[in-house]
Amino acid sequence: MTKHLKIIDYAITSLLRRRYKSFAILAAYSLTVTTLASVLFLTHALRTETDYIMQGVPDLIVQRTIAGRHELIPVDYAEKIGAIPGVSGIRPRYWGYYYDGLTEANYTLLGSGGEPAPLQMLTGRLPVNPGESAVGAGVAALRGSAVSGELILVNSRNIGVLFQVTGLFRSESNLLTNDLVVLTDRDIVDFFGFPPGEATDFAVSIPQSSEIQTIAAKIKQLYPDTRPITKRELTRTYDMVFGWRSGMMLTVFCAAIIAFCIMAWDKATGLSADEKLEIGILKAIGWDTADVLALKFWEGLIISLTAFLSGMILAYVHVFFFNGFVLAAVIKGWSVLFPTFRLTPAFNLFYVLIMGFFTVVPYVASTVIPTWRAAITDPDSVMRG
Amino acid sequence: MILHPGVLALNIGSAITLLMLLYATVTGTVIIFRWDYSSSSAAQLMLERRTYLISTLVNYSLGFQVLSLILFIYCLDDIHQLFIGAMCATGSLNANPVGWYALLSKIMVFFLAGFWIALNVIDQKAEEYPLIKLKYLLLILLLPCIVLDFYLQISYFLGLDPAIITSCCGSLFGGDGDGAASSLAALPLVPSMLAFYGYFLVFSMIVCLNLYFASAALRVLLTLASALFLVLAIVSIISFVSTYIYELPTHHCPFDIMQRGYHFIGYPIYLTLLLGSYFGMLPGLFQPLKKISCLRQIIGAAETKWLTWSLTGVTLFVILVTYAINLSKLTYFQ
Amino acid sequence: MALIEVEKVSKVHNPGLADEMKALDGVSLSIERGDVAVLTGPSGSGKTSLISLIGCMARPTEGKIRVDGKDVVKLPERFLTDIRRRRFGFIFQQFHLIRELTVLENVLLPLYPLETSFRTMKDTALAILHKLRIDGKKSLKIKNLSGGEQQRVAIARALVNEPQIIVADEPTAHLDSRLAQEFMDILKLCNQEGKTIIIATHDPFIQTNPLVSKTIAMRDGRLESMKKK
Repeated sequence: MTKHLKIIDYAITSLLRRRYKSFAILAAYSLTVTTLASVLFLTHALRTETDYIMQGVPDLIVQRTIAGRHELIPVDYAEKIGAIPGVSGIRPRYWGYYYDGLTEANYTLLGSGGEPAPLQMLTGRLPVNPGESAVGAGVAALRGSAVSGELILVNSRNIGVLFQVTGLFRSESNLLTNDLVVLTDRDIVDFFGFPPGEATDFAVSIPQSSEIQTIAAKIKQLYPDTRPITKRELTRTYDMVFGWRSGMMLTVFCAAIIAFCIMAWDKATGLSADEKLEIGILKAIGWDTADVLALKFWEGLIISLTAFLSGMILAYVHVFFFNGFVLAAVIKGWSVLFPTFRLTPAFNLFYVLIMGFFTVVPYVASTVIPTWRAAITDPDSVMRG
Repeated sequence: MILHPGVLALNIGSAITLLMLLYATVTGTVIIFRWDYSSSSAAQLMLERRTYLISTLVNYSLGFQVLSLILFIYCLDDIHQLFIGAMCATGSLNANPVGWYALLSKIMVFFLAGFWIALNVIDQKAEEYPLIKLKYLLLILLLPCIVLDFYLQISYFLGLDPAIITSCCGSLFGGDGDGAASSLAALPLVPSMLAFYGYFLVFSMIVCLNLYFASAALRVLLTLASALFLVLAIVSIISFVSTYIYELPTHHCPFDIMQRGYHFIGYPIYLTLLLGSYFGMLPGLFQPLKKISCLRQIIGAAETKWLTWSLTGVTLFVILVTYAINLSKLTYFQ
Repeated sequence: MALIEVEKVSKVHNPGLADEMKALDGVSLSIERGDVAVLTGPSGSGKTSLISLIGCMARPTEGKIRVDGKDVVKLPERFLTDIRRRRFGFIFQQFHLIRELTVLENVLLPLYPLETSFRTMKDTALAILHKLRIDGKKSLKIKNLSGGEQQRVAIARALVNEPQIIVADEPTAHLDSRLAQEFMDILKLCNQEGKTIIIATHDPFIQTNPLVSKTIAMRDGRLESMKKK
């Protein structure tokens, strides 16, 4: 034990003595960790965001499809669906997307009758009367609504409509409300020009989660032109998409890992004359091959941990303070449509383990043979000159 | 195939481990054939130096293997969301039953590689490399296990299809099912608790007896007792420990205790259990080697350490379990 | 029984290769406890090969070497290392100190792989530096020292593990006569403490020094003569 503490002490001084070489490895190593960890943090953050979204999603959404495309659903479907045993409630939802040419951003317009559950008001209240609206922080910032208290949107008949802003949203998740504009149901119908008696979809509440599948099947039987989407399916789709995207990214970055390993191999093999002499001296004055191997192990571990820590911190800063600007476009894909939003910091202990497998394991494996070569230097090499 | 970052990391790590062990085994095989300790040739010197390389490679591999066991469990736990009906690792395993074999083989590899490392440590303490051929022969035998483990792991992840509807711990470890797992869960509470703590006392006594008497029979008894302890401990976790941790008399899952919601308590519980039973098995396994005169003393000295470690590991395990039980709001007894 | 017994030892470098070289050929000799033995002979006569074999740094191609009665020829490397670090102290021709480290750190080096605590290790090293009168420079880096100071650090490093045997390879090759005398004075002290000393040199100053108790002459890898004083 004391022996290893002493060898660690020696490892630290010897790394500091060769600070340029150590720093070169450290920089490349940290960069690799930063890249990989950014991918993981970003996907994890997005997953956390979608988890928040999922909290507000109804147990079952019923859409209507015609020719495989999403269509408005007649409100009178609700009666029969609501009568299915196990369904505790059903309400029509009115919502749609709105492209704002002025700010070149997409907004989500939602009827207040069907607002998602865990929304927290920042200030004000939800619209109650016609002509009132509540907007997300992103929209408010883009349109300056917070200051003016007004929002002008161009409706389906190409007429500008003025809405009073009565509330500004905040949520644990920016992604959820950032692009949101909430109007009264009547205003939505009017704004988009929905045919009377039709809604965007239904939100169905089913208290007993084991019955969701059965009820979905019944609805499909009752109205063959509908498509029931369970909350579960949505979650899985999100998970698949994010998992798949980050997996793809990581696969791509495997090239980076390989390049890094080649460099590690090269650095470990290319011992300078000084280093060779040093190992020769150590061997001559009583260090065993195993001691030199231990020294090299600790050196590697110190480099790894330092690079690891700095890489993780850099990635954390990159993702959560700068919104992962380097990688965001690749992973989020559709994010260009959104106004900017800030990710909620989320950290998972196991990402450290995963990162370890991606970086430390290849590093260790690619340096083990070169360090062994160095460690078996003949002890009498220093005498033979 | 699921492109989950953890799965990817696991497969990369396992592939590297496999490569390292493959290299070690090939080198070991060369040593078996070319080893000539009486020779002073440069080739023989090189072979001796290669033993350092092999030790390093196998040590690292075992390290990775332990970490990969943890990561494997974590991945199972994390990907369960992809399967309908899965709520924890059990569900992910049921989604492709090969996973159960992969898990089992990982635990096996943990023990086998651990035994090999103990053998290597013993051999390195002797002056004449008495076990050199035996240990590299065993290394050749260890390799197929690692290959099998890698194969099972890959085929498990390849065979996962998110469309699968699986069953989870609720049905597998439910008390009213009719499988082996359910019957474990349905074990009567009081007798299984008595058996668990009673057997712990017996086990500690066997270890103590071993510490005082150097009898070969006692050592072998301890090896069997350790293996039994491992099994009995897992049975106890399923039958009553888990219910305390979940505070639900009907929830018997051995995997859920490793989730965040339960403060990852499963990890220290299982690690101390694995270590305790690993060290407990060592003394008995090394009895035959005591016939080699130069090893008798070395093994004798190592045994004391192993026994201490075994007792420490198992005691810590029991303390952790008891702590979890005491912390629980669930009470069976007033 | 002699402290070191060398029996018909041969050493071939790079056997089977184009640059195969027979460095030692059937050398037998013995060194008693408390001896100050000098190995003489022209360059390439096998002096260095012989002391690296005696110092357990390498293994002979043939023959037997016993250190304190223990046959070291067939020991695995880690046991050779163990003997080397417990019984031998080495002083090399170019000192072979690590230039970027301080005096104290250099002297501590042989103790790192042992299980001695940091404090004991430091105390031992400081005591030896004090004895050799360079404790005042303990925090200086080697590259800032003069030749004579470097020599004393090299000696201190050889003594720090309290060895039974001190092995020196051409220790005075780069020293003027005053420093060479100082070196011999230090060795004399060590010898008085009961340490056995083996020096390979072709410096006549050492060869004729009254401290020397045994002169071993080498030529072409063979033992030419062994004279006891």
